[in-house]
Amino acid sequence: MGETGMLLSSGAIWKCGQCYSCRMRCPRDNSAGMGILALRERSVREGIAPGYILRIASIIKSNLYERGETFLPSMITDSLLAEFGPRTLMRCSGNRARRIRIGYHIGDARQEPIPGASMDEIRMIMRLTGYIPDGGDENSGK
Amino acid sequence: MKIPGNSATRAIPHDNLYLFKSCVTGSLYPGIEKSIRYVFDRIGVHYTDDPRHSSCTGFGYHAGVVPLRTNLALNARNFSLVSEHGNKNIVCTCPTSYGNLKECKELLSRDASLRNDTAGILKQVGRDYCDVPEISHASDIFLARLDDIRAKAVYSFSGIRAVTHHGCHYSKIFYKEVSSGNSERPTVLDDIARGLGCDIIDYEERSLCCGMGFHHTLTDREYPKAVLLRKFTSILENRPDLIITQCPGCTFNLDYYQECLSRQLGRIDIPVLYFSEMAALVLGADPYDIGIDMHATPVEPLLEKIGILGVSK
Repeated sequence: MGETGMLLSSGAIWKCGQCYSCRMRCPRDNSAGMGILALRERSVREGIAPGYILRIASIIKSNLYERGETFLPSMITDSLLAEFGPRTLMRCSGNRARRIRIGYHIGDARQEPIPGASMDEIRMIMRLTGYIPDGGDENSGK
Repeated sequence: MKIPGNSATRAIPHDNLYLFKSCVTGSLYPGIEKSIRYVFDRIGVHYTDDPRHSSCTGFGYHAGVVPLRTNLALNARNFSLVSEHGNKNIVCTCPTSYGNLKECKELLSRDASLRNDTAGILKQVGRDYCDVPEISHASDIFLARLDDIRAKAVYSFSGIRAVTHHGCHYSKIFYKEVSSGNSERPTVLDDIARGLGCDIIDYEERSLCCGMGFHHTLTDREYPKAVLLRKFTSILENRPDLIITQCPGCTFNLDYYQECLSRQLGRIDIPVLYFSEMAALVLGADPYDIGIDMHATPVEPLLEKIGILGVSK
């Protein structure tokens, strides 16, 4: 159990790329990647995950609560594009406008966003599964 | 060593599908989603495009920040929506949705306590727990309907030398269910691309992950860069005209990182196309309608080379 505690607070569990080469190659059909997911979930739940993970956790929870999606176009920022290089920034910073040209929303992953009644069900499931506290919103669950 | 799964251990549905949209696809390359619809419409694949389903949550689940219990309940809700349409087969646009939905289906089928807990949660939102039939990836359907695509082709990738990169969450999680080839060497994209005219080139690192790693691409780009340096070093040994992909995250990594890797590898500039974008272009889709100019590495020179009109300005 002591070793589990060390793993939870170490950076090792966040290095896994979740590619599942372990799963397809294990002669006993085990999957180290799945075990790492269980440790990651506990580490986030107990608030001992690194700060950069807790920030991503908060963004993803907010995306799911607001839009029913984990990844949104807003996650590709100009500062991220600039890290790839000036040509990528110049070519792709206009992609938000191009989304409209091809019939998508700037701020939503979908051509047709998830309807309100469905969003109510999604938020209710987030509460019932303990992902956000009863009566709370995605912010109070951070 | 374990013998990898062989091809086609499951039936691939050809029609009557429920289109499961991906938040990563829709955010990074919405044109991929449009190209899948375009091809299905052109060759007469019938599908339901229901806006009510949620994200599969796979991006957050594999990052370790969405709990399993929430993942299972949201996808059980998604399965319940599918059953309203007469138990259609699910077709995913993203390999992570494919792997995650199959994982949820398997866990709920074999573990009574997880199933009972999930069914209880669904009951409280006014839904019943339902199983779903087959879960496939769009590339499975394209391969199964390749003759129909070829029959309506107006362009060809003939003479284009390409390499393929299959998604890890397609070939390595449910490794016995790869619809062509096997988990160590999936050939779904190779078969589709050859059918559209390409010459496929082998390379040593074809089964190496793209390094997306979920949170890594947003928080720690040294990991993707290290993996992609190895991948592109291998790809560049034969300098192909095109990289063909099966996953929106892999597409992003192989496309966007080319400029920063050029510091170590010299100018790369190999266009990256999703299999569905290729098929839509072959069928005559307007390149700008499927967002071809949203790729970081320009695709336009390749399209000029194969004679697709309207892209040379």
